[in-house]
Amino acid sequence: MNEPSNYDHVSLVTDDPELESLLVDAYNAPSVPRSLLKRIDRGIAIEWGESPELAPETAGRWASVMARGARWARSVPLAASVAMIVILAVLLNGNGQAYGWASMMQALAERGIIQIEDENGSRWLSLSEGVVGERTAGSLRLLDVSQQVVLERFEGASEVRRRSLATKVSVADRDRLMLSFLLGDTLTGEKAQRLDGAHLVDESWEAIQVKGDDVIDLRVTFESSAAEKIELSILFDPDLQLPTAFTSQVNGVMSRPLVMSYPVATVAALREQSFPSELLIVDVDQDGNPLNRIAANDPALPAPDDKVKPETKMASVDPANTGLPGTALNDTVVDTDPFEAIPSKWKPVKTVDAKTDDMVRQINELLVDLWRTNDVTPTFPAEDEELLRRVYLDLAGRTPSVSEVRAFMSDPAADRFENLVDRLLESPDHASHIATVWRSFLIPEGVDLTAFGGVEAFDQWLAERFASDASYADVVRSLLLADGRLSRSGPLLFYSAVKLDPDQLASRTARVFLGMRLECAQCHDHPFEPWAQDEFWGFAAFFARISRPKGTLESVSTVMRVSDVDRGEVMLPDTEKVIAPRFLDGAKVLEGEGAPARRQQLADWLASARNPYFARATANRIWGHLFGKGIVEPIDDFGTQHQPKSPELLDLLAGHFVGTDFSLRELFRTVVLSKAYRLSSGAETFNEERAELFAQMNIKTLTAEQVYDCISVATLLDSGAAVDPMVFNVDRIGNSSRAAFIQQFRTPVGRNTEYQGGIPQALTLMNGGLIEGATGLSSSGLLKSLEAPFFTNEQRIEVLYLATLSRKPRPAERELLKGYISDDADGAELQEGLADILWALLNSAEFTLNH
Amino acid sequence: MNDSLLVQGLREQKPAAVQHLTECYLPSVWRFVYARVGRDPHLAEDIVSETVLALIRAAAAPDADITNPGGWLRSVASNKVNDHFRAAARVQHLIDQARQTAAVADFDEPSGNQEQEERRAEIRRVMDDLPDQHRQVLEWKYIDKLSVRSIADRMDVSEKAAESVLFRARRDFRDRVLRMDKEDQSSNGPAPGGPDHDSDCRAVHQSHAEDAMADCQSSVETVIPANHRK
Repeated sequence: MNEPSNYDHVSLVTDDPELESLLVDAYNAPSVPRSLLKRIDRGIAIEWGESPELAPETAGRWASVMARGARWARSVPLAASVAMIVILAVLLNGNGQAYGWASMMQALAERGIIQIEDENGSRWLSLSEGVVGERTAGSLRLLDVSQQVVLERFEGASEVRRRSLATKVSVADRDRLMLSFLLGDTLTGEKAQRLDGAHLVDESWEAIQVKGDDVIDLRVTFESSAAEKIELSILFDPDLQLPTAFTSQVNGVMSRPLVMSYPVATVAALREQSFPSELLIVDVDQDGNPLNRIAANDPALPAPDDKVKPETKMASVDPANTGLPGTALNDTVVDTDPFEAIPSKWKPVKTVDAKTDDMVRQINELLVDLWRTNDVTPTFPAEDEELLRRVYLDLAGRTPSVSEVRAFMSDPAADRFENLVDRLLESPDHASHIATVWRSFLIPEGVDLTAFGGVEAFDQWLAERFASDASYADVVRSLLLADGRLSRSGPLLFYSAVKLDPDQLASRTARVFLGMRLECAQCHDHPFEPWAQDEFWGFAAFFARISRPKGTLESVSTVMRVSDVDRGEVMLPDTEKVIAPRFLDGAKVLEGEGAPARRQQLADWLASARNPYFARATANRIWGHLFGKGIVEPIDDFGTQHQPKSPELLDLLAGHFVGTDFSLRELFRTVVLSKAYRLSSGAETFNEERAELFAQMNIKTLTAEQVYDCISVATLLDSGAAVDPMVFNVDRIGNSSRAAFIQQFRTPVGRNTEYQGGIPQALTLMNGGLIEGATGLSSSGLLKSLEAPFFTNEQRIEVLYLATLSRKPRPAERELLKGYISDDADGAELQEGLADILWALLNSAEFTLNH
Repeated sequence: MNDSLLVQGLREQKPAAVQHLTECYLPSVWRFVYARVGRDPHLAEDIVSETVLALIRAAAAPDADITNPGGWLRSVASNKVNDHFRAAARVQHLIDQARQTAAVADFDEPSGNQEQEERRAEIRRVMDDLPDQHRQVLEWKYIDKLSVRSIADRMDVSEKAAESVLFRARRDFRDRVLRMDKEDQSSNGPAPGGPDHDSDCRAVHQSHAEDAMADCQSSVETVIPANHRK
């Protein structure tokens, strides 16, 4: 079912920037010179009697276009021209055949804004940011693919219409973006679908002459799922190394040549120019009917209370059952202030008081409904070995030891999985693993906290709380109310990591505990969510009254004490306006004599059942940790742009979380015992939606910490483990060799369903000190244990498989390895053979993935 | 067009075959020669044009047995480069004489550049040692920046198969680079080390500073208000 080849696609990701830069640097050579082509051409002409026309002296349809294209080139400032040349020289230098679509796209993405003018108006594109702007006679339009929205403004109108992008295109789909831009398709019009599945089928280039100038003619052909054939002929100016003009031909119908130019501007500037931030924004549906109205923060506009309050349609699945904004439209008419309308829809979750079994049943029912509604068939259940490895990795952060695999597989109890989950949740490995996971998002990456006790102190503090199954609300309250000397308190690292800045604390707190990315509202109203700048600073005001150093945090002693003080405010940037503290759901804040400290009020509200966001965000985070993807995705970006896949499921989990006094352990138990968690990561056919809707387990890459711990367990690196094989605990906190490996193996932060490793990680796994020790004949505890005379060679190989992949070798694998280590092999030959197999297993894709 | 069709096309004097040859293999052999002749574009051009024309002639022979035109070009180009330097060595005294009368150019490079250049040469050596197919797909993918689909087309195989070759090529390349680095390290010996004098000093200073800071704690705590602007 889960043959190793099933995972190979992850390793086969071909983008490899390190390798690319290494090779490009090593082969730094100019392009194949035209003179060489001419010489070859002449030589062949002599041999064959006719020229193959490798370097034709052609001109023609491009002449007039080039003349027009040259005009903008002259107008580009010198510095910009130099920058352009430098950028493209880096990309195109030294490569004999660098004029390809891919290199052109890369160059254009780095260049910035590309502009085209035609008879209907002008349009511009920023490939890197995924933004397209269009100006026609009567309207302006901006398509932001990363946010999946369209902004429109009609001539004479004082408002901006905003609607979601009807065609799903991602920023990563650059080809599609570029094609639609070149062809003048809007991604919103009738032609939007014609580029679905467009892919490059052919490309070629030739050097030609236009009016005596050398230019490059790049010809590319795309085909789409709708059987559209799109041919482009793109001219490069070899001096500027940028495309300057193009013609297109769709299904044989040719367009007239168009000039491409490169204005020196930023997306933000162009956006502001076309859609000034002081304009009102009206949310509309695809037909242009208004949904909701929000306004930017502009003193020139009436105060929110004075605004027109139009009757608007609000999005909701079923307001009776869930407090979340939903995914579908209904006719519920809400007459309320738009500033607070959407956040106020987030009602506190309803407490669910149910036993684990009942909860699991309800979760399963909701998932079955979700799958039925979306016409998705779940894949088959995971095999025992697959599930065993998965649950160990997710709950304990490591693979099971050989003894643990054998014990589980030979356990005849019907509820052996449930018992295992309980055992794992109570193990020290679970506490230390979850502490590491939590620290990874509580403390920003790359912050040096050595002076403040290092992250170990923080890990230790978290692990102790998780080990005792402390209420998560209490843990969060302790974090938010931490005080004392910077060097002596684990939870204070949450503050010192962001330098005690109120704005950073506000955005971090909102993100990690409430699942909201508020930082966009720091400098202006949030462009895509109904958060105003005032609201962000109102939230930041809760952190204004904390003692903090005058200078930078690095320059003060760690004996400085952090505590609440009775004064301190935040002001709106670039104004003198003091912003009072304000809860995100509009709850009342006590001020004046006798009122609790602001931090205290924040902690009381944030980690409570009345906060509509906290329980949902935590439930979503746990779900995301276990499934690789959250019910809301990204897991820390709740809002109108990212709707929950199942609001009911999210509310059920959040309600149970509240009902169990915020017990993370119970939440883990409930989700792990659900039907969805027990499904296989394999399937007969590929179906993206199935994995998206949790009808198939996502394959997750192991973190650096997990890789170390798995190797440590598999190879018995920690000799202490041998004392009692059934009580295996990884030495995580304060383990310097582990920290060194993690430092070396660390990959960029990203979704754990995406492989982020590159050459350094691969090399570390293949030849790093850890692997060398783990597979070394003299140092490997596992290999030493296999020297026992009562093992047959087949049994030895089986142990290697159980230790690394938590399963027995398959018949084909046994057969293959028999050829490598025969039954009668012994001595050094046997030892070396086993070491080789262990090395190969540790370097297999299956080992580094959680499936 | 696969390699046998390419050779057949050259034999039948089809312009498309020459186009394919210059598109797929010329950039690679050009880069190879350019690096081998010390970045002399004129010399590189001479050698590459002779090499390509040699292939055209060789393919014309009815009994030509060229199964791997990319490898063939590289091998012939390599021989021609060697021929050139052997010939140059024979007239070295004349070259030296010419240098003495010519304007003096400053070829001294900072040691960093020198090391970088040596590193590049090592990478090229590793690439030279790779099997032709592995070297070629790496060049196509990471230097010519072709998509996997285009590479698959050039190899006349499925996209999946091209991906696999690319994967193996990368692994092969890494193995060899690593082996080379290891050999270098073992020949250079361990890096010099010593006690961390700076960190010891920091610890002493910090201890004094902490005492001082504890005394003036109250003055630090009164800093307000916080107006943070991005």
